[in-house]
Amino acid sequence: MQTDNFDKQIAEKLKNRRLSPSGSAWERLSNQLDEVDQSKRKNKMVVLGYVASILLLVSIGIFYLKGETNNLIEFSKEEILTKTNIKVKENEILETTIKEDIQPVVLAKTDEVEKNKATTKTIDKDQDIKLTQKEFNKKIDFVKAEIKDDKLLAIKQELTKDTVVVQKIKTVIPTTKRIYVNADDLLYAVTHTSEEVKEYYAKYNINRNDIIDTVRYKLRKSNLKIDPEVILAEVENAIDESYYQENFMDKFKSKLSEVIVAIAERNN
Amino acid sequence: MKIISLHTKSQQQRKKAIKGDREAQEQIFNEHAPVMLSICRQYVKDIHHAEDLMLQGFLKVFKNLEKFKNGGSFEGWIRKIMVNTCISYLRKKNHLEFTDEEYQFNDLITHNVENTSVEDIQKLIDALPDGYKMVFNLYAIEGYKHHEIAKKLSISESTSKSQLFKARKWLQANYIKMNRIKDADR
Repeated sequence: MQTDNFDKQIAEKLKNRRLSPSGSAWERLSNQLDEVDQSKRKNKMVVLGYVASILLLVSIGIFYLKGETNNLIEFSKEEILTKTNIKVKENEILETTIKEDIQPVVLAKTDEVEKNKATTKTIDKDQDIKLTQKEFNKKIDFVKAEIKDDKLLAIKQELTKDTVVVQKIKTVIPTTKRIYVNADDLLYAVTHTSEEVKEYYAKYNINRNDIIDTVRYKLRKSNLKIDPEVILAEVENAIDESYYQENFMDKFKSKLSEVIVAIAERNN
Repeated sequence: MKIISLHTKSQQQRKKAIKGDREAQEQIFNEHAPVMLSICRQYVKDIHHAEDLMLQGFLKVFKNLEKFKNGGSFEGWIRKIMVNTCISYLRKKNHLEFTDEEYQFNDLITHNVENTSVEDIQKLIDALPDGYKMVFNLYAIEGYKHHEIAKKLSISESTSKSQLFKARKWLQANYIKMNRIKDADR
């Protein structure tokens, strides 16, 4: 009890005490409060900035994703058959058929080409490819250009060799179907078989490797990345057999140049 | 009626202060600063130092004014903030030590300090070791319980009790010493 009184007396004296702060006390506190307000405002601005940038990023993301989904075209999975039949002799019909959407049919009479080749390409059904509208249009334009080139060639043949060219090119309508066109495959489709090539060289005593080297050199000069074998086969196809006997290398080089220029133009 | 109107006035003052009204904040400061400075002075010997701690405490008060619930005592709320500010300052500065050193105390004879000046009492408290001072201030002046002190100072309840006991003895011993010196001077 006595100790409690001692405590109470002390507590009472101290509780009743009032100490006046210095004259500058409020001023100092006011300055500190100003600083706090400023930092609060800054923090608010920073938070608003973060929120605004997050919203902007989200809206850009949504806009971009929406745009992407609109441009994406789902192509149906189906098999596309590319068939090239070349069986051309004097006054014979050259028929090129591309199944499905693009079906250019070229009928031509030429002097002499004796080839028969059929290429069938099967596309994996499980392969899922998505193309944007832009990419799709680009591919369609490329195919159109190829068809156009074929058409021109056919007309040329008609003018020089009194042949009849009949072309039927269906309108190319962009569809949602996948189209696979391999330039090398198409080229190869119009070439000789390896047996025929071997017979050729045996007959005229020509070293085929030398010719391949020449083709490779020419291709390197032209910056074209094409298999020399394919090019050689193409050139061999185009050279008249009768010229072979006369001056093979001269004729070969000129034809090779023509083919390389044609391919380069087509690729451009 | 007068009490109600005063209460409403202080509420309006606080509302303005929450919105950042400097005038209202200054009024609150002027009203409570003398008591709060006295509290801070109990913990810190230097009056300027005590004023700095008081300003820190008021800064916290104005920052957190919207958290004060109108049901309680506003002064009591500010007091708590001031005490906590002083304790955390002393803890940071490693001023808070709970010594187990045994002093040579006389038998517990209680004295009447009614006639002693508050300055002399403050001198006695200032001379207390920090641990004793802290517990004594919290228990005897602020009215905290031992378990609350234990929690606040991160000590055990028994330590709090022993510190208080030692603080009392120390104060009484020094009070006698002080009176003897005064008597000798006369």
